[in-house]
Amino acid sequence: MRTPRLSFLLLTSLLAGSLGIARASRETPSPSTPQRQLHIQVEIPSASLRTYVDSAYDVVYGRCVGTGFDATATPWPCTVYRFEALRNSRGIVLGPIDVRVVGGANADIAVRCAKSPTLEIGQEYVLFLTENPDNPSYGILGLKDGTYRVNDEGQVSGLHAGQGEPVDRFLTRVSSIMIDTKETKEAK
Amino acid sequence: MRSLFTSGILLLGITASAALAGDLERACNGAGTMFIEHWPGSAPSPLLTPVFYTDPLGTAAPTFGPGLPDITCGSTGTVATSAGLQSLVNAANAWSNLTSPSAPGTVISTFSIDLSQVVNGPGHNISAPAGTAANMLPTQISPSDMINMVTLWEPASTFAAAGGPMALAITAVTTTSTAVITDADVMVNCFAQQSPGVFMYSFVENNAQLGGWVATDANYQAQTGAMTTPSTGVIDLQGTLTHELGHLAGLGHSLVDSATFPFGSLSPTMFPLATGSGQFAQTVFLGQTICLPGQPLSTGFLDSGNTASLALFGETASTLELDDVLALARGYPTAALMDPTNAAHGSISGVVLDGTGAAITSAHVVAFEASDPNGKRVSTFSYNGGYVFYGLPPGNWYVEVEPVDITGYFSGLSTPSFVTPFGPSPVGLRSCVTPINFVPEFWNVGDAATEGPAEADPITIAPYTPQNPGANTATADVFVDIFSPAPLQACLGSATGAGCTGPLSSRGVLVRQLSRVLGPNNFQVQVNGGTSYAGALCYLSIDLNQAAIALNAPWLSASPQLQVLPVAVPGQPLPLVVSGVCNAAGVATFQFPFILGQQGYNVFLQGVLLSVSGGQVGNGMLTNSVNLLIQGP
Repeated sequence: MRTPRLSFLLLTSLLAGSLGIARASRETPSPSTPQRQLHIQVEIPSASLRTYVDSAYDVVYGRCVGTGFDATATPWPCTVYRFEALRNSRGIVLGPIDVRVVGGANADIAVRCAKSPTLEIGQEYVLFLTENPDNPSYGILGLKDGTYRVNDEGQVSGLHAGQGEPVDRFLTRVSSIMIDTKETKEAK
Repeated sequence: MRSLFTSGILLLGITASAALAGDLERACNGAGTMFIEHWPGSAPSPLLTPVFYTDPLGTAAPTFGPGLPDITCGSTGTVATSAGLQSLVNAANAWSNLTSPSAPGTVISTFSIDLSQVVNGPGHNISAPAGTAANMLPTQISPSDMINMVTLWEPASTFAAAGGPMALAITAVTTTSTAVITDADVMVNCFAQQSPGVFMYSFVENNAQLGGWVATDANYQAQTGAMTTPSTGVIDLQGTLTHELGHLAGLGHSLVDSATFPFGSLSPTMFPLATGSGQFAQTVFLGQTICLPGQPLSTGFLDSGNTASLALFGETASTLELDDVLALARGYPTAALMDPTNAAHGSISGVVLDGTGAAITSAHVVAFEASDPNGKRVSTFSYNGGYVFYGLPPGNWYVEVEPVDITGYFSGLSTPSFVTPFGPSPVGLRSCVTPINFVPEFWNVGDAATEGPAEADPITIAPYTPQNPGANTATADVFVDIFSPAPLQACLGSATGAGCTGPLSSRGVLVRQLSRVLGPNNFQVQVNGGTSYAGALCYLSIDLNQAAIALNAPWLSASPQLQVLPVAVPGQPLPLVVSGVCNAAGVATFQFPFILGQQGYNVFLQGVLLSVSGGQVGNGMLTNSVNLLIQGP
């Protein structure tokens, strides 16, 4: 069934929107709308688990215990997660750390990044960390691609996790790759 | 100092954003008003400022890109001697003053990118700012300085919270609360290192003076011979910059893929990168595929001209496809684009409605031309149900609408960024629209929500003539079937319990289907019913009738080499039904052999329609139709 009249009405609205003149009478933002919005487009090619392991500063298993928003971070505001690292694979990072991920919002600015993961307080994760040389905190390698959620049954889900793979097995795979890389380098 | 941390997720709920793709980005305020992300003015021309850096490895001369130094300090050079600047100029020109694909010379977009600060005069002489260019500019990217910088030598700290060395490039677009762009910066992560001394990406550029492609080695020196240490991928700088400048213009990632195959050289430039094999664009295995069932993508799907350079990440991204061109033109249209008397192109518009007549916002609407569905394929999103395609070349066009879903991606690929609109938003943000799941559907004559989703009719766009003034415009309203929350009824295999009374073809809760070509004559189907079906008996059924439709399709009969014989082994019929237990995630995986009708072709068929079924024994069934690609040997 065709509805040409409805089409015309809706199309008119759509076209006006495409021209940037849409709904002028409604363009007054609500008082609580941030005056500035920042849209971060990040291109992250997928890569093998080996590449992630080799590139990670450390791989940690732990729990998100807090979150906040750092509007003053440069070059872009970040969400800062307080993460309790319970285990690690490279032996570097342990205990409470700050993990910074671009994105978040306050009353002045909203920063959106489609690739940024959202960590939930109380939820366990395996994170592939990258070091921030200018800040005593860490980032997540590959953002969502370096974030593995651990469910209540101890199974990880993420880019390179097998279906229903127990977290111990996944971390063992990570460690095995680390050992293999180290032995390869030493052999050279 | 007040603690930065809270005891709960920071949910401000005061703003909303929607990153819609294949179109200009859209953003919403808290009141639900949607805005189109755009540069101000009727003919925007943002000034782009490349930033030169002293080579971080110690080379004295300032350089814009990897490889040869661009400018000797205090002197001038030419674009011809600068591969990096060539790439940038070409990328900027690709988006500037777009012309109609079907009417060369007819400008259809008012958008352009201004590089006058770098390139002067017809000879393209580069004028280095006084001193060095780097000295004239801010030392750090800023989203609020109104300077649109393009940098290639960012320090690692810039990317630390945005993926680290895995981030290939970033475009940061700053807008007002009404989505007017005020600043945009592009950063390419040329200096990313996988480990000390091991670079993540090797960049290639096309430099005429050096006789063609130039690659950079581990020390970022130009190499015209064999490339060295491409750790994760070999990256075409021009393709990357072209993609990023599309973001700078306001475009999101396109959902229009070329095929479920990594060598989709005709994927739009704005298709998100997703693979580790070095390609710029790769299909994400959405359950909602966008091809007409029974229709191959095209015989020209694999761009043989680029076969030799398949390892060049993004090479084909340096040229725009129809989807890229028309998406930008929709946002910055000239009068010629929408002129109904233009004989070169036409338009299709309509609304997407559910069975009750309610408008569906943010349905993904795809149009493709029957004779060249791979090359002529465009997309947009509905807004208040309405959609429109301008600038369509004459031909027979199919229109399909599909929901955008957050979980229907293949686990072996990178998470597609384009799913954001309906996915978990970053802290403090929420989606602009409520996701509505529905059965992907084609427009057909007498379209209604109740007919089969695969019923499709072409829409003819013919050149305008005074004698036939309406030939180049068409209306196509599509009614879709909203998925019901509970499984509908269908019987399959041993599922004979109560409520299992319907036919196989009944519609039901979406069963996500993902497929992967395992090799010649083999492919894999994955049924993902979600956790609701954890432990359930999941079925895959083969609908031979639908397969026959594919075989009988006119485009196939014209291309006999594309025929697929749905047999498991020579002389043996394909099993109609196989079953397996869904795992805890509700996923079951099946593998099938297929024999292609003719050997020796790179054949990609999207259109052997299989029915995927999953459900609980004794508790009814649910089915969903899917498309598969089958790769030839």
